[in-house]
Amino acid sequence: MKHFSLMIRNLTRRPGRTTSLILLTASLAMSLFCGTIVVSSLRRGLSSMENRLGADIIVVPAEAESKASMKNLLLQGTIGTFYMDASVLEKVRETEGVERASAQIFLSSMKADCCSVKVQIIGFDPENDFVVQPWIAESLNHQLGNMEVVVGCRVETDVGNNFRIYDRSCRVVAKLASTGTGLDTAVYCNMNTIHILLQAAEEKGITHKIDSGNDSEVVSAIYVRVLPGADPGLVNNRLNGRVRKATAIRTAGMMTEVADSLNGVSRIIAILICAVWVLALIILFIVFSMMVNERRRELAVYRLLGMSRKMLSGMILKETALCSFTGALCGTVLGAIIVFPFTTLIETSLKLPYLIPDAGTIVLYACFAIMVTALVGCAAGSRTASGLSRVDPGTTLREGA
Amino acid sequence: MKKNIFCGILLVLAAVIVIGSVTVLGPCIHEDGSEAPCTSAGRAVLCVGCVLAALAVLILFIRKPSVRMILFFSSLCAAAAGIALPGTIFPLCRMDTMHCRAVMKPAMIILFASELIVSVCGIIVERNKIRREKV
Repeated sequence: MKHFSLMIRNLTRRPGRTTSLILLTASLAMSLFCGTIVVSSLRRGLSSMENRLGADIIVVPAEAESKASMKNLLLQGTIGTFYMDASVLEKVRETEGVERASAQIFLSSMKADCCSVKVQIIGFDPENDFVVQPWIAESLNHQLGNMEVVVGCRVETDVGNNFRIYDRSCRVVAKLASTGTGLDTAVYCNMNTIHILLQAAEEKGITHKIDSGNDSEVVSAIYVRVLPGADPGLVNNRLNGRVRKATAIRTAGMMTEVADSLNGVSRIIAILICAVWVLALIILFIVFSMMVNERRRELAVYRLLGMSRKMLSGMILKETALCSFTGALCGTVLGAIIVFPFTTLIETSLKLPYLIPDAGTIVLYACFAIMVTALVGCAAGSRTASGLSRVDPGTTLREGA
Repeated sequence: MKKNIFCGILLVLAAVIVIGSVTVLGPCIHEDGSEAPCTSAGRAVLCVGCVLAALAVLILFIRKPSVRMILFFSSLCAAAAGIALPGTIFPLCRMDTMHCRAVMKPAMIILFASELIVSVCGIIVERNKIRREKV
């Protein structure tokens, strides 16, 4: 206890030095914690997107593919309103190698309907769907009825509330869990509801007409699952050859693109963390070597008062450990304050799927950041501690006289 | 200098709130000029920020610890109200990805929470001063 109070007094006597040590270790811990959280969130977002996509091929109108609408819709929730003739669905189902095919219709809400932004409304067929239905089933225990909607976790409304789209009132029956993708901002309904809403949109002057075919029978995208053992690339080529004015996109290709972007971002973050660590470590070593000269006389007096070398180096190490631990704790807390409230901002800036890890993993990362930083701080201080403990008290005090 | 450190921080934070609420930390802006649902929250944040700045300036010029403590307590109340302004007292846009929810709300909660912590520190310091004066 006596040693502890001496240690605290030593630290508080030099507030500038102590604060700078704490700030340095805080920056180390913050960079490590924030970097780890961002990279792991990106990885979790990618795996969530892979799980949720559930289809091997997506067939969209040619115009949609040229605008890269499907990828933007999935990643950023960009509104995609493109249509093709509903007869395409039958053609897709008849294609060799196709196991299941399910259509979706996209519609955009008006700004004034619910929010100050447009919302993507996705109509799907619950009976044939294999993409949306499995994860809607996690939140809803009955079949989605007419004028009932399921909202993504980022649409600010609660279950039981009414949601007005084109002056038609829809009841929110479930809210989906977070996916970290653009689908979190979408509203899902069945085919009957989407047709009523398409009609309502047309009454408001928003048309979804296509160049040819029956205007009331339209689809936006067809999700395809290939037969087990079938080559998705071959089926994709078959679909591209068979279906006119539409393009089949392999989801694997889309995922590879996303994974490449994610690797790029992860690499940049890793380089930044390394740069911060190298800089901070250099500064830490400089600070500690300056401390050797600064405290030479002070420690010589301790030696004269009867402190052994071991006790002296132990005291310096404890001081360093206390500073490093405090800094690491402050840095991790500061990192949490920066990373967690601004999750949406980070996600929209990176334009990649981003899903924060669960609480247990976050605590684990925080402990890891604190431990590593505190250990590095102690390692940097141990050299100084051994150097200072070897100080000859007589020579040092005579030098200063 | 040392006795004004807390009101100095209070003033700086209030300035960040005021300037931020009309620039990068403000509510959503519609391209068509129409008013977003979060505009009122932005205005309220600006007002509370101005009140906090005024309180900080008053604390800076007043020397009496009891009055300073009351002013710190007022800034604590204003900061607590500020935390509840975006989203709880005043509505925000109903989409998580909107600027008001992604930037304004978290930034203002952090800034007002910092104001609250600084005000508590100020109250403790002033209370200790009053006790010492009594002794």
